Parts: sequence; C-alpha cells; structure tokens
Amino acid sequence: MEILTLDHITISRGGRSILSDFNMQVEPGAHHAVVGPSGAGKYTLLGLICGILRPERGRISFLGEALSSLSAAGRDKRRADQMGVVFQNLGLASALTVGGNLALALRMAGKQQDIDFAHGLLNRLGLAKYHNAKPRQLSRGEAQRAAIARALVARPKLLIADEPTASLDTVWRNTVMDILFEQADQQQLTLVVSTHDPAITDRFAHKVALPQGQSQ
Amino acid sequence: MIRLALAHMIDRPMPVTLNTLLIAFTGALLLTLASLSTHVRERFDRDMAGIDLVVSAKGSPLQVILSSLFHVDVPTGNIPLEAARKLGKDPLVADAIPIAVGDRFRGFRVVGTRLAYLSLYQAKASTGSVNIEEEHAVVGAAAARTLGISVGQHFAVTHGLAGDGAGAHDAHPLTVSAILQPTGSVIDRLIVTSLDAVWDAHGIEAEDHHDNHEDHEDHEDHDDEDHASEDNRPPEVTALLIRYASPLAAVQLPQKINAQTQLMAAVPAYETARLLSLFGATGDVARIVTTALAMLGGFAIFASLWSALEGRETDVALYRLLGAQPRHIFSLLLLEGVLTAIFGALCAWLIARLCLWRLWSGITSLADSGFSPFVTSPGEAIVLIAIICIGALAALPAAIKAAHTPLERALA
Repeated sequence: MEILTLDHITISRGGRSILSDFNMQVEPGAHHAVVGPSGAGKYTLLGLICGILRPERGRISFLGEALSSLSAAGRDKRRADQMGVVFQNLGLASALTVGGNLALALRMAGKQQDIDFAHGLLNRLGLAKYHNAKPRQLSRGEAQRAAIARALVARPKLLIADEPTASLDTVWRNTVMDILFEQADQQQLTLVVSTHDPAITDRFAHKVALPQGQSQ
Repeated sequence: MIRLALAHMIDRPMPVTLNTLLIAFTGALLLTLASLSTHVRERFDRDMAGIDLVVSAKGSPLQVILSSLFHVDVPTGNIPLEAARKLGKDPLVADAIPIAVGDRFRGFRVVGTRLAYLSLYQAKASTGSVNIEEEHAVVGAAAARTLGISVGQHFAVTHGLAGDGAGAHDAHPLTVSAILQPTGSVIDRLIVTSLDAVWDAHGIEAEDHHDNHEDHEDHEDHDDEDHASEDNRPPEVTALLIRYASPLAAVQLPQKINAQTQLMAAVPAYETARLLSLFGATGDVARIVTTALAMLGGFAIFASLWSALEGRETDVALYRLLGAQPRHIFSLLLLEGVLTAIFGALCAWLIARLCLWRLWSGITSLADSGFSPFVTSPGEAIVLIAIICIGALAALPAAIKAAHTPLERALA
C-alpha cells in the first residue's frame, strides 16, 4: 500500500496552471527525486504533499487518509506528526538555538526528547559545537544542515525537501545525502526531494520529472 | 509557548528592554500616585473616626472640620457646654463627644475631652496607664517621640494654637499618664486631657459650679490671676463630635442644628470630599499625564511587535510549517506583549516601592501619618492589571495579522 498518492491533481497559482491531471504514487521507504526546470512546479508539488496547498481538483492521500479533504488544522497536525519538511527559505527559527530548533520540532510532533539521536544527527552533520548557536551565527551551509537535522529529529515517516543540498559543497552534499538514505533505510523513511543536481538525482531510485509543459 | 515567547523577546533585547523600562517608569508614577492617594483617603477616614457630624460655633464648615477633626486650623469659636449637653441627649444622637481645643505644648495641640475620644481612634497605651482625669494627660506616639516626653513628666500648656508660647498655664501643669501606641491617625500628634483640666487652666469652674470664670475666647496674654477677675463665664467647648443614632439623623439633625442661631453643623464626609476635590485637581493632572505615558508605553509595544513581525514572517511561516495553528501564532504574539507588560509592571511595582520607601524615610510626617511603603493598595492592583491589559491590547493587532497570514503566502 502506498504511503502517498496523488490522483489527477490540478492546481494553478497566480492564474497560471502549475500541475494538470498529475498522478504520483509513493511506496513506504521509497526515494523519489522531483526534477524539472525552474517554474516546472516542484515547489508547488512539495507544498501539495505537505498539505500547505490544496489542489483545485484531484485527491491526495497520505497514510490512507485523504489529506486534501482535511481541514487546515488537520493537515497541520499530520504534517507536524508524520512529516519532516525542509524548504530553502524556511530553515530555522531565528530566535532559537540550533538545539532549540530541534527541541521545537520534537515538541510540535508531540514526541519525547531524544537527546542521543539529536546529538548524533548534529554530530554527523558537523554541527555538534553549534548546539547552542543561533542561526545568525551559522554559515548558509551550516544553517541548511541544521534545518535537515531539524526535519529528521522527530523521526518522520515522510521527508519532503526542497533543494536540501543547494548551499552545500560537494563533500557536505554527499554526506547529507548519505545521512538521508541511511535514515531512510534505518527508519523506513520515505524521501521526496526536489533537486536540480544531476549527481543527486542519480542516487534516487524513482524520479518524478515535471516537464516545463506541466506549468503551462 | 512561554519559552518560545521569551526566546523571541531575548532575541531582540534592546526594543524589549526599552519598552519594559517605559512601562516600568510610567507605571511606577501611577502606582506611587495611587498609593499616596489611597493613603490620603484612608488617613482622612481614620481621622474622621466614624464621626457623622461636628457641631461648633458658626463659621466656615471646612474650618470646623479642619480644626476639630484634623487639628490643622483654628476653631471658629466655642459653644456653651449646656447647648452641647442638650444636643447630646437628642434621640437622633448616638454618641456626642465634646472637645475643647485652644492650647498647645511645644507645637502640639492639647485637646480637652472625655475618654470616649480615645476610643474613637482605638488609642491604647504603649507605656503607662491611660488616665486623663485630675490634670493628667496622655500623649500621642508622634508627639511623644518629638517632645521626648515620658510617663510621669509634668508640663505646662500654652495658650493659643500659634505663637511663641506666651501665656503658659504654669499653675496648672499636666502630668503624663501614658504614651499612646501609634494609630496612624490624628491622635498620634495630640495631647489629650480632660475638659476639666482645660477649664481649670483657664480658670473656669467645671460643669455644675461655674462661677468666677475667665472669658477665654481671646487666649493670648492672660495668666491665672486674670481668671479670678473674670466671673460668670459658663463652661464652653470648642466642638461636639456626633455619631448618628439612625440614618434619619443625617437628614434631620444638621438642619435642626443650623436652625439654631448659636450652633453650626458641619458634615465631615461632605467637607472632606470638598477638600479632596481641591487637592484632587493636581492629582488628576498628574494621573492624566502618567496615564498618557502608560498609553505611550502600550503604543511602543505595539510599534515594536508590529515592526518585529515584518522581520519575523519567516519564523511564523516556519512554525506553521512545523504544525503550529493560527491560534498558536496568535497566542505567541499576544504572550510577547503581555510578558513585556508583566515585566514592566513588576519593575514598576519595585520602582514605586523604592520611591515610596524614599518618601517614607525622608518625610517624617508621612511616616507619622501611618503610611507604610510596603502596603499595596487595591488602587495599585488596578493599575497593575491595567498595565497588563495595555500590553495585551498593544500586541493584539500584530497577533491578529500574524495569525491570519496564510502559510501559502509566507512560503511564496
């Protein structure tokens, strides 16, 4: 049974058709790369999956539940409980430390603090010494890695990430992807990741190509 | 939620500190005014001691209240003891306490009266035993402290309520029988003796055998020898302090008394309200100015939160992305305003206490009046609640805006 299903989804934004009669099925633990040129609708697709956007037509199911027919509060709860989300422009809460951001994600998911797991993630991502640092004290790359740690810390069932390696150098890009796949294997984590990077795309078993035509 | 709100406040320390200080200082001014205003009213109430009516010689009613209750002005004259006695037997009168004032000892007024006067103020002896008969006197706590007087000490009172002490009744010294405990009322500043002692000092035969008395309307420049030469003066009192027997008396008794040519009835509650309204104008101006400043503090919170929200849209969107609902965002912003106001209110309370303590320790008369800088009045509680409400109101627009920002737009 699929963890995520998008059936005949149609959505337009700002008077422009983004997705039209779009279909997608995601098995539990599967790794999907969403690829396509800029403006193809990658961001919109991720927004639909995590329940921020609602389709004009079609149905989105997550864990057997019709996500698209839930109220905004219901979608917020599913996202908090079951999904880890990384958007490029929404990394970390500026008022909280890196550790505080991880604690907040756990609290919002209604999960117990798992200090060892959180420290393990920060350590793997080269952020152990930044546990008490505010986001403004981090470089762009460090902040992006911290956002990935924040998305993973509550052990979500589905990770939705928009260009999660965009600000990383080659070494950290590979390390981050290693961690994501490792978590996917160990935790039965399903990955839906949008990327422009062919080197990253090649590591995914499934690719969802959004041709320019989808957005016209 | 509180921790998150605190984190946001700590993250922008300068505007939060400035807002808190603005609220703290304006709040402290309001609290100080409220405390002093409450004290003045309570002090008036204590000094009035449940007296419903003061009967005296005709003159200014306010002057009568000031001289006979608060002991800060000169009396309008005297009334015959016989008239006072007759009035005391009126069925509309529950209690009638005569007082005779006009003498002093080193600046402190001497009041001739009955023991019932001490009961009005719940005055008890701290040292000695209360006795005002046979030329004994009890001394109020503040007066005793200033005079350095002690039980058993003799002293001669002086004629008149002002001047340099001429006309001392050296032949009729009073003996201190007791020093009273502090009451926070006017009696702390008084020396209380019997009516007989006052009359004796003025050469007036007490009560039923009043012949060979002096005319003591003019208290200056006379001595005991003069008394022998002034005959046929009946005993007089300065005023009669009355408690009504029934609410009906409030309507009937003042009219009945004022209809008599000799006497005048002054209602303490009315005259005190008039007095407070005179003082109140200054207090009102101060209150309006400080309230305006407090509103300014509220506006500063509003401006601060509103401008902070502009740079915080990303954070709000992130909280929404993590699952926070609009009501959580609303509560978060509201809490920031309320917490700023609470911190401001706490600082205001501390600053006010410090100011009041400084006033209390620096102004002896304030300390003597029973004022305590460490007692919080109900008026202060209202000010503190108002400050917190201002904080909540100031945060409301930013909280509503943040809560109603669609996540979709925040992500765009």
